[in-house]
Amino acid sequence: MKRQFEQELDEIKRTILTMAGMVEKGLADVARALTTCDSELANGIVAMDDEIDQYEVEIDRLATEFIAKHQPTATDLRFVIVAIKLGPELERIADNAVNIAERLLDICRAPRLKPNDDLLRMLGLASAMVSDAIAAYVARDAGAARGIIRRDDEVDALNWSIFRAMIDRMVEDPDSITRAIDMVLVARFIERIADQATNISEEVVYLVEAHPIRHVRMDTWDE
Amino acid sequence: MSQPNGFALESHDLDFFYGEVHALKKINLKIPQRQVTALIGPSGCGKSTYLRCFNRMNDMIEGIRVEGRVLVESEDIYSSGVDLELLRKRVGMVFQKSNPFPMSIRENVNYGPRMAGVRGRGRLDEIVERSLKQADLWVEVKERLDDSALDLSGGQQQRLCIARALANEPDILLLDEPASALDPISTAKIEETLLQLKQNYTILIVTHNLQQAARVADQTAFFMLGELVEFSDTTTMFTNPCETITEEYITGRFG
Repeated sequence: MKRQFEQELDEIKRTILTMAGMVEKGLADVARALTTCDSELANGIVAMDDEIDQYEVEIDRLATEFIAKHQPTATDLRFVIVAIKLGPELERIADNAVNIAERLLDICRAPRLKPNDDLLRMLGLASAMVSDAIAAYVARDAGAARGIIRRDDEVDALNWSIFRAMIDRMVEDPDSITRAIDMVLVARFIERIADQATNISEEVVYLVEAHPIRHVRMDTWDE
Repeated sequence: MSQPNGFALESHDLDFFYGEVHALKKINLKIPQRQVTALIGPSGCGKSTYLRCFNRMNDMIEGIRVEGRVLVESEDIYSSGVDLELLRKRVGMVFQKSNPFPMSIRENVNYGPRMAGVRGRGRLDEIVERSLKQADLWVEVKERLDDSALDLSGGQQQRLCIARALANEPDILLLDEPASALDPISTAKIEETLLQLKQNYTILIVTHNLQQAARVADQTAFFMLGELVEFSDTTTMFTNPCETITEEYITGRFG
């Protein structure tokens, strides 16, 4: 039988994974809603946000109680610190999914603007980064986490490309300004999701290797 | 006393036997001056035995055998001709259970200096005041120095024992679980006292309270089955220990 200590650590992890599962579902729904312009799906994403927020609060509560009761050290201490940091990251990813869902009807208004495929590709990349970051957390795989961080550049490049294309479009066709701005905003929300997956991955490296890689240039990483 | 190599206590290939029991195995360790070093490990790991090597308290046990070298301020204390009385004056000790003498507070503190030949009320009172201040007890007892030490609370008695050790003007303080029988407030006072004392003394402390080691110690040594498993700065020990077995111990997975 597992000791109370282990059971409580398991409960923190289980809560994070439940929250992460909901966030991943939200991102999958956003991708489908963008493709199908399904407004009900978009409303569902918005509705799920309150529940995700409550998981963030619950993770903080569990982690605070754990620290007060057990004064963890070493890996256990890092595990709890990382749990407290992952909650807000997941919550912000969900917020960005909501932001995209709220723009959905404008985005879907015909005629669609051209970089829609790029937007979907960007969302696919960012969503995969989130899923892989969660998998790296579960597997405590610092190598995989570093690989995810390296993928952020591709998302940034797509964001920049969409931004440039929309500027050109707005100059050419002032009637498209509203839709083009929505497109720029959505790209920006997706770019933030990839950043949040990067943050999660950085925390995974800290969890495993005990040293922070935040704000450290990739080419100086001590791997 | 300032030492050229910066280490107050050292052991080199130290083996210790209780009869046939091999209690310490080839311990090599250097304890820096004017810092707090904690010894941790499960019961029976040898940490108290190791602590007691440094003022030869183990000599009082029959059938013990010591091999290797134990240095106090670079002097081999197991070599012939060592003055044990002088050694124990230089290396003071405080035990788990406070053991004030059945005398007044004043007499408890000036007992050591009187035995060492210090005379004169004024001189002795100076020592009493200085020692009680260093042990953070002066304010609480200055109006009742001639009351019995046995009337003090458990935490005050323990600080009195620290004052009594300090009255001999040691260079080094050995503490064997000094706060394990105390309530949290008394424990916190002892810990604060240790942090003050390390400015002038080298402190070696055995503790079962890992959080206490994390709070007060600059370095921590982890012992297990008579062996020194890991010795590192305390932050490293409690955030990212090198050895898996250390991690398992400090995270409470065994012991």
